[in-house]
Amino acid sequence: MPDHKDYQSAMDKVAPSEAWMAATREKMAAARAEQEKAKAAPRLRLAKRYAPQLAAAAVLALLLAPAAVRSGLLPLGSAGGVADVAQEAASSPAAAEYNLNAAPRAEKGFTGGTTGNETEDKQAGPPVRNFDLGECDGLPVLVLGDDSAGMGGGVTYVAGSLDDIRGNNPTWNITAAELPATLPVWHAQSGEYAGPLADLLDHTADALGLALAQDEEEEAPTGYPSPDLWPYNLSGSLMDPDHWDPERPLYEQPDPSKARVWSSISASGTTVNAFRNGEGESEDLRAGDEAALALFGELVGIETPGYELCTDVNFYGEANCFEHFCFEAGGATVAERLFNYSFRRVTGNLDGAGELRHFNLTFPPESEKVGDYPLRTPGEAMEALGAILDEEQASGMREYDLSAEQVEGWQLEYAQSSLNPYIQPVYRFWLKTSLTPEDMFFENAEGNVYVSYTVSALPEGYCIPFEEVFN
Amino acid sequence: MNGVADKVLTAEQALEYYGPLVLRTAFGLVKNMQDAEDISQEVFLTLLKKDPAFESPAHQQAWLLRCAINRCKSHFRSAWQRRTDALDEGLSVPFTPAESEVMKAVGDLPMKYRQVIYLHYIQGYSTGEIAKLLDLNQNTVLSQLARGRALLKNTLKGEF
Repeated sequence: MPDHKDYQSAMDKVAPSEAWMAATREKMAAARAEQEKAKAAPRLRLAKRYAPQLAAAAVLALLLAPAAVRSGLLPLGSAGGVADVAQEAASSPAAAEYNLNAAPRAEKGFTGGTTGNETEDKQAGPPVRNFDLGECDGLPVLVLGDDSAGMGGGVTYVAGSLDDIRGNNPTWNITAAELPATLPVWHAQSGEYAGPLADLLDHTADALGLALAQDEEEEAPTGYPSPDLWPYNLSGSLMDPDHWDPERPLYEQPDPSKARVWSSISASGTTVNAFRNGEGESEDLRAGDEAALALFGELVGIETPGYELCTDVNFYGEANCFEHFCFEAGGATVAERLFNYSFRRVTGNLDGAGELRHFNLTFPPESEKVGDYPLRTPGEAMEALGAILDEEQASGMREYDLSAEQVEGWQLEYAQSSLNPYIQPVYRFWLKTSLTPEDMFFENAEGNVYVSYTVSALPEGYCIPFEEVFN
Repeated sequence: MNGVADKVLTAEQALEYYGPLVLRTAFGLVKNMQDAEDISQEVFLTLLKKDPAFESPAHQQAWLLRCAINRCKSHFRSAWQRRTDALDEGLSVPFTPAESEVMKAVGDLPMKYRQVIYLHYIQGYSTGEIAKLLDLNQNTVLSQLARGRALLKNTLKGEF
């Protein structure tokens, strides 16, 4: 019978062809040339973090490549580094043939596709978002991807009780009378609506009294399925203004070692993430969250802090916190409380010395609002869930029985991800499965196995699954 | 297969050194050489354009793997790019029948199981390392590895 050794021997046979290597070298040489051209016309606001290192690395590559070849690190075909690679690719008929024959990509579902001619595409500017799926009662029809990236099977947890893992969502099992009639939907903060991302970084830097050194904006990769949604994040570093001159590269700063305070900060969707080096990691999660709250609570808009800590059971039967944050618990209506719970959050982690080494801030959306959408009832959404579960069962995607009758509760949430063009409400259903932790191959674990699924919160016709639109 | 390089490489050097690793990773996940080549090319172009600051050669290798895996996930979201070439199309040495059978069985696993099976059996990562690489809890990785193996044992009617 075939086993993992056959898997390993099969994968050993997978190797890049010379034509692919040559084509890739050629594209990289072109990208490098484009980069060099851009460097010749520096942008004032954006201080490219590692430009000096890049230049040094390029020089180093040229100097070291022959030695690397001698030592066996690099094959002969790549001997000369940047310049020789470009030369080699330019003179490679195999690369030209490969590129000429590469199958054109199908681009369905949006009208902002590329022409296939890179020069023309660059002149035409980025593709324009056009998810024109028509209207439903005067509101644009939305599209929604599921949170399992099409993998199915929901998200599973082992826990003693659902209360340990469901969090403090203010819409948990609310009555029909409490259900909001409508909820707002926004464009995702990406693509042409990515403007607020820069503000998120600036505001965070201001709150810390630090200077922002923002990276160059990452371009949408060729053939990315939804280039209109790019960029999905902006990133940079936070610098100490006393040791940082934004007009100079890092190595020319008066004290480079003190210049960078937070080595990485990024904004994606409505969330800012930041990290810096630190020794050790504190296990006091709440202390970290409180420290972040003290620094950023006002910025995020938290006046009445609530606290969330979700714990499941890990593979070895130990308690495992998988989510923790402070949130704004105030709000006059259910809709306001859901908004505050979803978009005013602060998380922090401390290092061994009690200093903040990571924080995560979630802000209210500032992108254009699409409209106020009506909600379907939990019962209607549960019917949709039932159809998903039946389909999964029939396709063999899930290896155990599950039906909508096993729903133990639900809550409204806002779904946003880098592949979703809208920030929109969904129902999250929590189901108790008939599985045991042993069925999940957990050792020494006790408790129940729960699974959660998300389903659009909008009535039929207002939202179409991503896969149906883009298949 | 190359191990971790002895220094952080430029993007061009990384292509020469880690090209096989990235291509193999993409192929292991998307099961199609043409898509794997497209994805791998994007990974190296991203490395060149983004120019991340790596703490070590191991960090650079992990970044490349993670970038390839994320691109593969995006690829599956864009289901219109699916292709149906034979598994070993584009390879200089075709698979044996046993290899084809096991590759098909692994390829039929849901992505979440396939990625941990690949990283464990082909890249030799521990579950802790996979957890860090994929930003998952280690218990999730352990569970997915066990479930993936159980599904493969069932499909292949043998051990895995």
